[in-house]
Amino acid sequence: MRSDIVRIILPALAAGALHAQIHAPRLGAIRCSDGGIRAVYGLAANFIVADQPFAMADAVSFSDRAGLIASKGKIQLLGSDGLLIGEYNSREANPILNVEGDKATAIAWLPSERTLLRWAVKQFRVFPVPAIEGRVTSIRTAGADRAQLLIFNNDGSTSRAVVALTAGDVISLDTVPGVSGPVFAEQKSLIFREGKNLAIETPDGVRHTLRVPGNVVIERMSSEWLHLSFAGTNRHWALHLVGSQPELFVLPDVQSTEEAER
Amino acid sequence: MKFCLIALLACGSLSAQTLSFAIHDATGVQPDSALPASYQLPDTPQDSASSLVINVKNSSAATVFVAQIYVGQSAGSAVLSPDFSITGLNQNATLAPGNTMQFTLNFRPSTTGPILGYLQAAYAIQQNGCVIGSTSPATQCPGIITDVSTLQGTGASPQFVLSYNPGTGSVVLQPSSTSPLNFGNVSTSATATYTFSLTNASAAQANTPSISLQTQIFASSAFSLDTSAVPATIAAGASASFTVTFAPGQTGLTTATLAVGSNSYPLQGTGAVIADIDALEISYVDATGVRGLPQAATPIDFGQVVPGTNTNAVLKFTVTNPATSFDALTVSKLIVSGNSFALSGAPGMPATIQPGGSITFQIAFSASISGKYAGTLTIGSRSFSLAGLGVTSPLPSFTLQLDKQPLISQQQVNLTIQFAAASAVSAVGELSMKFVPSVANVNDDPAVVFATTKGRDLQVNVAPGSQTVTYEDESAITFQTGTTAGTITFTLTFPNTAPFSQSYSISPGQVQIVAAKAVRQSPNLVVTLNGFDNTYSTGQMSFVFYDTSGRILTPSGIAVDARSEFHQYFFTNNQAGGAFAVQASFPVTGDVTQVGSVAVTMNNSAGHTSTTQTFE
Repeated sequence: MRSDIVRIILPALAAGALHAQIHAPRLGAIRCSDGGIRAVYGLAANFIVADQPFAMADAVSFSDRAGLIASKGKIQLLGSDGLLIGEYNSREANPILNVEGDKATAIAWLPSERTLLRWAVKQFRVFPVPAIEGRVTSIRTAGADRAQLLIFNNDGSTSRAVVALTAGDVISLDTVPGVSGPVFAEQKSLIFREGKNLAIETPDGVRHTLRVPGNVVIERMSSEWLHLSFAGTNRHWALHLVGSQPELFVLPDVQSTEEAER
Repeated sequence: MKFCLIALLACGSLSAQTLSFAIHDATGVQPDSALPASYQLPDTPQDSASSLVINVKNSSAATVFVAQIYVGQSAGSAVLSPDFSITGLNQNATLAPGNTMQFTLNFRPSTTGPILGYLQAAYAIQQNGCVIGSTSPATQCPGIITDVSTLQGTGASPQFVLSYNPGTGSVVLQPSSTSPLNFGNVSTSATATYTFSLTNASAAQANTPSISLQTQIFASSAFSLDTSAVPATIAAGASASFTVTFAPGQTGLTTATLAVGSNSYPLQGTGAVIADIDALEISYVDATGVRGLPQAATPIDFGQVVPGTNTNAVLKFTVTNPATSFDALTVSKLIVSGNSFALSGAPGMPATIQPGGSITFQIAFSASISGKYAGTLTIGSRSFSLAGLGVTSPLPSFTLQLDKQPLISQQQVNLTIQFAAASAVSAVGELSMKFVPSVANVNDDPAVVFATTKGRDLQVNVAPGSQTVTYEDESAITFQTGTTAGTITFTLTFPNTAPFSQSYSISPGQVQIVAAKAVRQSPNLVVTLNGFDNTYSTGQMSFVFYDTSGRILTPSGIAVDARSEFHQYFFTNNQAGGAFAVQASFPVTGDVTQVGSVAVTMNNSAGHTSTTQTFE
């Protein structure tokens, strides 16, 4: 096939098409210490955190195309336009949420019920997984019908479980070597506490460590960015893990709603 | 109380095995030597003092309660000698066996000639089942008073004699006199100055004793002292002169004490209404509301200001004609002299003040350099000195250091404030950040902030011994440079320190494309670019499409003029500085999978930038 049969129809339309297509780059959304969810604009190292929260939540996970918000027991799936797609009344106080891509990647672990929750085409579906013991610290979909969970066991070890989403069966359960503690999985990297440091083990096996002020809470702020916050401090970081070299930036401190109103 | 205790103690003789007294050489050159039963003190001028340090050791095997050690007028007498004193002794102390305590014996003759004193000790020994401190007669330890040593000294003529001449001949002043030297009634518009003569009456040159004025008013006294003509030493038989001036700023009696060495001479004077204007009551308040009554003899103190800080000290004055006055008073002039003192808010002169009425004005003091400043306030015929001090910080000098230089857009940079030396003091300062864009018609970039606060002001701390300033215990203070060309200025301010500012420029640069994505969404090709233009001038774009073999597709080089769209984005409700996300969609006829990649060029005032992206 000759390439010149492809015709790109542009000049007359381009300017008009561009008119509505320039906007502030959006990096994602974060849940702040006051529970308010705020949009983050800008570029790496150039973060602009919105003053006003657009919602309140107990846990969140955002991708570039969807978002999961847990608030007062309800788990809501939002589209990239912020509109509600679906809702599940879990009554779960501390769900583990994750959405990495489109809404089909939305998944949650409900610890009190030992149940997986995922978005299945048009609605949430639950999959009891009674075989999972220990504390699930990270969850993600692995293909269309599987989920991968990282579990902090009572004996201090960490396991990786693959669960079939059709019936909730545990397909595999392996120990994660060299890690003892809660682990968060991102891309092909693992993030965990190592003494007083936060360790990031990239796919090439290299561990990058940095001193952190306390226990870290990790939530996904977009498909490529994680929001790291530390209990009892005003420190927030944004972690970018695409590629082998992690990039960590300070996120401008987030005012509470009350402070913003003042 | 002392007499009561001593009276309870029975007289006895001092056992050599109980308390031993030794002369101690405080310099450590000579070893301690036993205090003899009779000790000769050096001849000492009247109203001067000789001292002897004595160690007391419990040489017994029992605990000893030392109630008192004193010098009596006669042997066994509890009446204290006026010529001797004991200092530094922990009276009513319990001394364990072998332990020692120390005191100083002072000989200060009140008269000339031979003087005797009797060093005595009152104590009790805890022995034979008695208990020190017991209130039961059955178990009380018996008290003992004993003569330790007979002290012999000679009071010599005073070394220094103070005199003044009231115009009728020289008058020698007696220290601690109950009759103050009276400067008399002095107009509040006038001064009275006495010249004093301090004569070395000894046969040898002597160091001049300290001369000072002691007043009950901390800030302002009607008396002032001028010892500028007094040398450090005065030869035998020679004299030195100094003056005391009484210059009342207020009516009424004022007292003070002239101290020469250890001698005190009471002074007094009365501010009186001689002329009408003397009756005016003058007062001022400082910024904290503290009220002061100025005296003409001593300067009105404006305190300290920091040179170059645009700060000043302001005192608000009120001049009142007392309601008890019969007539209105006219102030002919109100003048402030001295370059660093500025008068404001004063009424026009001459100003008439009715009985019970007042006028007000302000005087501000500012300093251009550190050092002392002086001025004069004149109210009619009354004048007051003004004083202020320019001071600099006790903090060491410091520098601002950045871990990345020169600054460019879209950076997080660590700022460290480094002292030249360890700080000897703690301090709390303010660090502020100001951003001035160099792009016309742009006022700010919201991303230029301290990352730790999301703002541009921090309260920073300095710990004693630290060589860096910290914020929340961190020396590195992270800030963002934003995406707009301009200048970031940091200003660090500490109390009593001129603000220190340092600026860093962010130069205009070409468009930076941070992320690009090219996606086939048949029948469209969608190109998304995230980046920034710190000049806000981009808009000219060109797109060159290639097939999967790398050959240019037609039309080759599609130019897109999006300047108006970018201008509207940048200059209308801008909330992201020079950062942008632009998406271009290109309708395609034919098979979009034949399109392999696209090269995008963006121009701005600093040049052009290109990136090539493969279609997904």
